[in-house]
Amino acid sequence: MMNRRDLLKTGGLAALGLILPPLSGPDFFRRKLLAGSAGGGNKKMIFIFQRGGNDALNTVLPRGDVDYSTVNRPTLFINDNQAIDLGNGFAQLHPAMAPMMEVYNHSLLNGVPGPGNLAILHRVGYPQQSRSHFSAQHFWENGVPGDEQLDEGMLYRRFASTPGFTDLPFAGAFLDDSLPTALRGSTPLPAFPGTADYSFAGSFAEVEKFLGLLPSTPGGTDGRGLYGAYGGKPDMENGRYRDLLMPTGVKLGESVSVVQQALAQGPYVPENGAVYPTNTFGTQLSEIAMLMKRTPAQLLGVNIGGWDTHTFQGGTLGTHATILGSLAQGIQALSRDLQDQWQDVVVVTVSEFGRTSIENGSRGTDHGAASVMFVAGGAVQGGVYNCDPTTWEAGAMFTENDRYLAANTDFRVVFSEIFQQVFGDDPSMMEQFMPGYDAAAAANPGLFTPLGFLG
Amino acid sequence: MFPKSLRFAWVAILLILGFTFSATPLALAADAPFRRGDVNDDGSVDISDPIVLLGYLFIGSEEPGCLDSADTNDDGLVNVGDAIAALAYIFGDGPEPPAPGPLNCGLDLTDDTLGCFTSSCDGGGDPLRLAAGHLLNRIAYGPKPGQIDEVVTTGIQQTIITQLNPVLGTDPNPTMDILEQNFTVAIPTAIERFVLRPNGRYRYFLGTEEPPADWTQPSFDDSSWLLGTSGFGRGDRDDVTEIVEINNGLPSVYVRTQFIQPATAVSGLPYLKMLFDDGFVAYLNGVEFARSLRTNGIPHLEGNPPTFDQYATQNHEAAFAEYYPIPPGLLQAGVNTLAIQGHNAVNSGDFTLRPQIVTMSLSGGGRSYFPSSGNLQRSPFIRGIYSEYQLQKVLGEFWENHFLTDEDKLKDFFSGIRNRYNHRVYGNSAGADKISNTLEFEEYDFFCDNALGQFGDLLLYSASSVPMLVYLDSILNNAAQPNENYAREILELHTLGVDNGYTQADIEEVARIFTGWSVTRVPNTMLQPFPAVVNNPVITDFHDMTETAIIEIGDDWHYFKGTEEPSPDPTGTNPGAPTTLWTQLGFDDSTWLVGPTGIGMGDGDDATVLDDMDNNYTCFYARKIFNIADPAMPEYLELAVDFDDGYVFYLNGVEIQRSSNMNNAGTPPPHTAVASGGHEASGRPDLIDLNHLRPLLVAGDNVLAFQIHNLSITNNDASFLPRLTAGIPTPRHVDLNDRQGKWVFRFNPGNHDFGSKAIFPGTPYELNIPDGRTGVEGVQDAFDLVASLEAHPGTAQFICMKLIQKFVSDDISLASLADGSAPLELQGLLASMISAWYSTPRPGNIGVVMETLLDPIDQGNAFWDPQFRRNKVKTPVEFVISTLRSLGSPADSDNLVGWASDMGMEMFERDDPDGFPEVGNDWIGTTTLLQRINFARRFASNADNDFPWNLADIIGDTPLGAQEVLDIFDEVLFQSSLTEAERCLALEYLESGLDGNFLPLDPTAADYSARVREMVGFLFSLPRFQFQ
Repeated sequence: MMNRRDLLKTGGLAALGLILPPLSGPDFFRRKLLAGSAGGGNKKMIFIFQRGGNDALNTVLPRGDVDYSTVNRPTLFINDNQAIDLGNGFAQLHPAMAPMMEVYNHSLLNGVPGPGNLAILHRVGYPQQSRSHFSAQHFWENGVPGDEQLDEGMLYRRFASTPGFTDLPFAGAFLDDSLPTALRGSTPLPAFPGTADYSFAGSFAEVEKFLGLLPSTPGGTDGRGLYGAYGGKPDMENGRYRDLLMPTGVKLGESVSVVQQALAQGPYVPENGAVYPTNTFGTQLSEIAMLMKRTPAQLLGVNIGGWDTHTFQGGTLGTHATILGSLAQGIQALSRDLQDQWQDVVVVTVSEFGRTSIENGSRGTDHGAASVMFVAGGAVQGGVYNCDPTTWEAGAMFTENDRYLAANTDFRVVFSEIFQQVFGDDPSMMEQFMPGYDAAAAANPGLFTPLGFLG
Repeated sequence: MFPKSLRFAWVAILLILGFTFSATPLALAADAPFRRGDVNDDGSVDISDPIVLLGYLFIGSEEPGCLDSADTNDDGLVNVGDAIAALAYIFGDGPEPPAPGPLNCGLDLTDDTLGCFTSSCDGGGDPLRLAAGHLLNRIAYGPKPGQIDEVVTTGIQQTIITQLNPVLGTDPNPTMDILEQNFTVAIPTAIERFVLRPNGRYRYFLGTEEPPADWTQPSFDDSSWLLGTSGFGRGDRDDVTEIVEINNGLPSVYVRTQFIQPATAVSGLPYLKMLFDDGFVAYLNGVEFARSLRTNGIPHLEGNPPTFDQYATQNHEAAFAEYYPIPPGLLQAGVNTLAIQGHNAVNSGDFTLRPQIVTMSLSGGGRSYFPSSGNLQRSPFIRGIYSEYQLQKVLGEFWENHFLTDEDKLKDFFSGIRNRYNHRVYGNSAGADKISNTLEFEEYDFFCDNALGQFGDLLLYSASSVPMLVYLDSILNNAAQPNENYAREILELHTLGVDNGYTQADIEEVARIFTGWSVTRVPNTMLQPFPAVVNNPVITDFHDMTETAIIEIGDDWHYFKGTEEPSPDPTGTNPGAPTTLWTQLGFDDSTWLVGPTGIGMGDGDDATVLDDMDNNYTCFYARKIFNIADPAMPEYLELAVDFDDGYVFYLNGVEIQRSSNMNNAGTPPPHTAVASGGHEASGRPDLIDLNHLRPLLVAGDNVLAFQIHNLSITNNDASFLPRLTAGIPTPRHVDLNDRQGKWVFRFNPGNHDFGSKAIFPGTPYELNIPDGRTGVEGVQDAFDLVASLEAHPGTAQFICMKLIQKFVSDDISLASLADGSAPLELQGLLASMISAWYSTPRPGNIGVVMETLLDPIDQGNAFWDPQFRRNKVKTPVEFVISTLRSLGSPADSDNLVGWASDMGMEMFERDDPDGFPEVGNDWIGTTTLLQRINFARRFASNADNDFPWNLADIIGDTPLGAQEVLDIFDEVLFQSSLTEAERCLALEYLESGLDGNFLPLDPTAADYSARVREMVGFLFSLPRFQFQ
């Protein structure tokens, strides 16, 4: 049990009317309200970006394709009896991802037979995939392949369109040093690598004085302290980046308060036997689960790095296997830990591209085209998609430039399904969330055929 | 400005002549924000303004401080038309004056020759000082106290010219070099020869009690001591003989060995070359000659000799060997005795003793080493804070980021290197770290020194630098299996920019160009500077020595199955007991079996299989006679033995060494003995140096004898794989873990693709590289490519664009250029810089390009356009350095590295090759802002002794009121450009207590400086300070 002194030490909590009475009436109401729920339902997303380009063929193995062979993949190839069968007589999962199978196959989790809540979506990409990490990540995040400039995220646009989202002090966050493009937009969301250090230095009173007060009207000059500076009149009219920096400063003060309040509820103990990976990624996922339970956040995300496996990628063991294992264990832990809200949660993984179908001379793989996505959550119709004897044509591993696995499904239609089926968004909004969506869908009807993984 | 009297004359003449007066008093259109029409600068446009204007125009009233505001109709002239426009507007008949105004402040959007020198508008201030501040925010890491005055005095033009022409190696501020030298170690370049190699046989004694007093003497009988191969120790996996007792708090280990110094001594001076952790005292022939020192110069150990139970009083890592001279006369021809007592630090699980004796012939010169990655990472801060050649350092950081390499990948590479016997060369990661730090530092140093030089030099340097060769996998790129990693990034990141004029096919061709590009190690005496290191590259790999096998694996040995003793004691009190008679040269082994090595069973690694050993006997014996003509030669004689599970080795009847799992098996061990622990023959053999056993060797036949013992009678795996070699050092001989050598570029023709190559085919920039080059000529492919790339318009565009992003505005990118949305001023600047790129005989002279960007003479291009001031978000490194510089604080702390890292920028450790972003969007986020604020407030309050600042240096000793204090910091930090709103916030912050109530600043109170410092922290936290 926290006592009052402990609460005070965490700093900035007076901003929360829940804990302390306002210091002075009128001033207090000039702060933004810091708690409450956004409109538009209680569905939430956890977004995981596998940065570096995941080798889809070493993640979900097309066992039924003769090209998946020791000829093409001398050191990467995994034997039939070492991989995990996905039940359609064609696709197998890398053995390191075994922990995820209890989400894939529900009975392993709760004894209820039948398909679980994990959809494995193979061969996801977009037309003319970029093989530059930086461009490719940008396109997956801004939702507009080909647009190098747009630095506003697809997820931001979707969530910001729900009523009240941008006014919330803690509508979402990304667990890293900085916000990825996917979550960027005109109203900043907080980003921090960990919750513990997300606080201002100084005593409670010092922090209170430093944070100060928002002005009575946006851009006004009667604020005080940090809120006064960042919520007040800019130092330059129409100055570059002021429209982003100023609200970021306000959001900083507010989100620190919310996060510290969440931490003040005591040490976080994962539930239902969830065990997160013992690395930074696992710690961050555990913090995401904590924030899912203790704050009104609707969109939380994290990066997992190490996928750029140009050299010594490994087979059943090795660097790629290790991070696949972390990812799988993380998804398993989330599904256990968040069982109470599992019906409202959707976990989505993406990676900017897959890799070359033929192993390179350094026992690794180079940048390729289509990759594999994982989508988990209570609403998900578990199964493997785009990797079965019916849709996987002969030579599929070399359909693009004779080197790469080509996309069979555009990532935008995957997100479109999620936005519509999970979040209840109107189909007409897809064009707004992903500018150019309608034209791209019309031009590539095959790529934009929904996979139906949400029932 | 014109003398007033002269202006009167002009007015009078013009009036007389009936001309409409137009005021164009100065060529320089200085700009401060203003409100158009607000001639009297009272904050609004009303009837008083045309009255003041008419008074100025016609009756000689004082000139308005802001002629732009008087130009009410914005036609570039101040005349009666402006008064008419103002009157029309005020009385409702005319349009509002063009922006800025009439209520908002802003900068003039129209090009004219009018200026605005003073204005009550927010963000006003002296235009010249503001311009100086802008310059220092861009070509320097912000102004230092007094530096604005310096620029104003020197002149902006001269300041730029000085910055564009740094003198190499002589920074006017010596502090930078002094600080960097503090964490480097100068190592003389020398040729080194071994007297006593690192892996010799020693007797050792665990310091659980005091050894006999004469243990250092040549005459001491050490036969009761344990036998082991150097180095001795525990932890870090860098030891040959593991001393597990270290884990139980063992304070000391004593080692001794004897070796022969030939009468014809090798030239050079003798040194003890010591790898140790944590402290030691060394004796030669009974005389102490070396004792390790703590960093403060005081020995780790005290007493003569130190008692066995002392702990070293400071930790010391065995990263690189240290050299201790051996006094003249101490090293004798003939037999010498080296004795060393090594002591661990208290509670340390890590201990190492690995002595060598070498002779060194100094060959002049010297090199520097960086002890830790923290110190490498401190360099950009030290240089940024102290260097007077700021532009060079800003650009040095820029190139370091442009040609980014990740130190971690380098460390992984070096720590993974193994020698020919599969031992980790840099077993202790600290060794690999230091090599990596040094190479990274040298790369950064080159980028600084050549920051204003030729782009093509920077590119070729980067391509051939060891960090880049490792980081982007060039070392794995070979003709049979090209690796495209570097090829992609040299086009995408280093020259043309993403998708800017190249194809996947070009990437594949460029990859072929860099096949065979690799790294190797050479002694310091063979080092070459850039560009010789790449023009005239080393083409063969490092070889320690030419090696001749005297006994090879697969040679026949005599062996005897251990079902009984091979030479039972025929006499004495204990008949049948084991003896070592079988190990002697004269022993008759003609009844023994003969078979090739390896000998053993299990694992399929044996040529002679003892298929009856399992469940039958636990040991076997092996003998081999070899012949050498002269025991003094060859110079290096080394026995390598891989084994399973334990062995005892004898040379000419004398036990030399045994595996540690045989330590308690008896002397000699009986045939029934078993090894106390398992050991696999893993390709990582024990190395036994025979050089200092020469007293035992004889001209003619000598005999090696081994007894090999299994773990148990039922263990089904045993092996014995011996190899004896003689070596002759090559001219490039240098130990891999020796500081007398360095990793450099190597071009390996054997891995190069000599076929013809076509890059950019079908374009005007097509590059065709012919086939038919041979050998080292293959390296020229890359020279052709560099020449092609530096002349390619895509490179000129991309590099100039990045320089504009860095120095002028983020609002330019390849994409915004492609679709034409980049601001026209920036497009114009880019065009002039690209012209400058091609204006030199060799395209891409960065100094010339930067001179065009900075426009020192006219100061009229986009760089000087007020709309691009304070429009760039500081990167974390810029934020940290500019904060410290602003108050004149010294940098002497690793903490700065940590702070910048917390803000999201840890130089030398970024995984991704794209470099840290330059665009503001990427540096605006809650965490980076939080860390900036936490750092700046901590710094302002002097909470860190490592980077203090003195308040009196800024505000003097005279007590000041709140307004005066704020005025001073407004000028120091912002050239007096704070807005009224910002000043109000700062003043309120300064003059309120923790309860939020008004609390006047009292200059006599004890908390005066603390409160001022707190306000300074607040100023650093303002949005304004996040910009440059």
